Amino acid sequence: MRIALAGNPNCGKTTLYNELTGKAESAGNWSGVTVEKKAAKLKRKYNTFDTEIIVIDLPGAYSITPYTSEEAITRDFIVEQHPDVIINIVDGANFERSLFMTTQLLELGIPVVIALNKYDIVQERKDRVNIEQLEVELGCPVIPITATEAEGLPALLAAAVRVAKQPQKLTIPVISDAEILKRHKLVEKIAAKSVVKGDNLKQVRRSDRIDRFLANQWIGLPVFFLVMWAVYAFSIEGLGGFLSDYFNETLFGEVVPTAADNFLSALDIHPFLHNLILEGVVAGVGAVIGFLPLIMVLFFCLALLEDSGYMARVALIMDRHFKRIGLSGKSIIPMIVGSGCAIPGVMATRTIEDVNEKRITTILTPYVPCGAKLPIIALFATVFFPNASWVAPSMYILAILVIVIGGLLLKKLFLWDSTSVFILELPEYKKPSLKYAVNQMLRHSKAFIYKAATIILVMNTLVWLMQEYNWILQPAADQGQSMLGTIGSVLEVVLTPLGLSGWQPGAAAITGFVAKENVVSSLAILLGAAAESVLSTPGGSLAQLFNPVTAYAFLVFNLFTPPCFAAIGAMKGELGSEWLWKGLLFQIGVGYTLAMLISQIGSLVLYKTPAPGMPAAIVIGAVLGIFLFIKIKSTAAKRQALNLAADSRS
Amino acid sequence: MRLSEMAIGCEGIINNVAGTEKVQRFLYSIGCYPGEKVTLISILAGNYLVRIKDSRFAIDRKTAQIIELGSVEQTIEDDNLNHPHRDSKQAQL
Repeated sequence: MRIALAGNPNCGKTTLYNELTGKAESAGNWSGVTVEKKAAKLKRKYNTFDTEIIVIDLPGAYSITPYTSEEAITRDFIVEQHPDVIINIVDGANFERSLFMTTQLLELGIPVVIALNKYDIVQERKDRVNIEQLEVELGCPVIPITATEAEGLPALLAAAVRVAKQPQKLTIPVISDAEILKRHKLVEKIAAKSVVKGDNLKQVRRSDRIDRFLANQWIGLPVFFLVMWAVYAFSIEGLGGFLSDYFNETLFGEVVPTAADNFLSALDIHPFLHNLILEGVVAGVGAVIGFLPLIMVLFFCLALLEDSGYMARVALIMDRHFKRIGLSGKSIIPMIVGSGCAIPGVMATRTIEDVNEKRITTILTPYVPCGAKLPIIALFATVFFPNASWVAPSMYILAILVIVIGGLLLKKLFLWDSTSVFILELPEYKKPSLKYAVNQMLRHSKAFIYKAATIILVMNTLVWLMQEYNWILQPAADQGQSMLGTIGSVLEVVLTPLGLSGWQPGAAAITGFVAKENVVSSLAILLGAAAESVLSTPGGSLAQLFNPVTAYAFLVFNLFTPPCFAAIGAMKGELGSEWLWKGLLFQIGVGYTLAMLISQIGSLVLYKTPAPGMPAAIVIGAVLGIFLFIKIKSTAAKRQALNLAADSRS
Repeated sequence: MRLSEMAIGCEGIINNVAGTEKVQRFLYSIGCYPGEKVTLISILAGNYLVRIKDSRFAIDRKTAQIIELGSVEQTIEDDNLNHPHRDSKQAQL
């Protein structure tokens, strides 16, 4: 049996889905967190019926007449796939609006059960819902639930299974899509009959007062920066950093390698395997896992912020600034999601109706440092900038700058005409739920560990082998002649204008495209296995390769060139091949140029000597400048020919 | 009067929603349709913060300009509505 969950954005569908299936999909309190349908088996705990039940979570929509591409999924799925029963989640806090979609769903001829969610809020507001009356009006069962507390779910499922077996009689008149006002009249009538409104003015007033401060025209943005700085400082240098230092120095620096060494010696296995495990796997994976506490603290803080209702306000604050670069507040949502992982971030661009705005957002979203880039930031911050709390937050500020400048540049480089409108629902502020934050934290940690144990482990093994052996599979006399060494040497040429020398940075950067954490683990392996000295000592063995300026440039290079392959795949899905190439070229160009500028200018200013590769850098800079100039001119001419006003929005 | 011209704290009844069919349909589906009430709570970061039915929406200026209102009256007594240039306590269209 298949049960589909349908309802408005932010009515609690994903929360209900996670509770019913035991999955941990990303839920959020703004529209567009779920952009694809997801399906999973009902948890055994809830399945008291002797049949297998599949629960399908559909993206939220205000209506089944589609407005954005993810809203179309809901209708297409229901019409084409015929689930056995629809659980329509009605947001008790937005009763009347939710019923609009309910009347549409009832007409589809598939049995419907209504889950009256957020019943705790209904009671708190002293709204009185006459459930029997509502059941008579709509001709389907209505079950009050509170999804966040898992209340009322057995009754809901029992009702769903019961009605799935029998066709439902339609008690409301059928209304065509065109007669939208008639439908609203019907909904108003049903609501008036079955709900007596209590009073929620106090809560509303409180949210208004908070909004006047947090979403203020002038102080909104500085407050946002302050909040973000606090979160990242706490995660990277504060509690998260403290715990990660312990993990890196003690646990993966001494305890685990020593234990593994002893264990492997006791087994008396072949030295080749012994070294592979100790220097490749343990050192590499350990280097990444060491950053787990940092990831946990960060996602815990971000989940608290999101659950409080603040993140939706950030979209509002950014809207006005984003409009200047041809985007809107809608673009900030993929970017905030992207701070966890660029893949769901890129996919979240589906909520943007305007195709140009969607493309630009897809290209810019990977610039937001994701969770996987965090270890790289933390590593370089600890080794090269001990006692400087500005390094990690500076990466996020730089990301915002790159997004703003990148947006402006893309607007100038490509034809542009925007028609989209910005309308965003804002949840009321509330005290964030600790349970939710802990769940989010565990979800991200699980994904992080899983990745370390699979793709990173495999990659580390490969990196170790490639730095030990040369192309004819003989042990390399010197690392520089190994497989990895020769690949790195080719890249060294490209990286020289960035002030980088040696083959190791290029080799590490390449492995980063498989998973960004690999940059850290590869450096750990290449610099001689002992994770401890690489990862935590200021001026440790990493200092052979970088000085603080080139380290910062290398960090920028890894953060602002294209994301990992998986994220590039997601970009391809949203952009198509032609725009993917344009996007990737743009990302490479931006990351490379930025790293080059930082390295060259930084060296001149701080060390009074140019970094190596200065002449090449000047040539590249000049060529790039000329290219941009010509391209912008030609686009402007084209735009004029087509009579598109580039600045029509301002 | 348009929504973009209404004073903060006022409630108006929607007369007409202009704009393309797609935008209109979306606005209708969130409850913003002729005959329904809309309250302007605040103007934040250049967006109009309104209450429609039980929900709070941020609507950009461009969209606020296409929402036309009939009778408008002040409903929220104010704590600190400090927008001197918007002092129409009651306006008729």
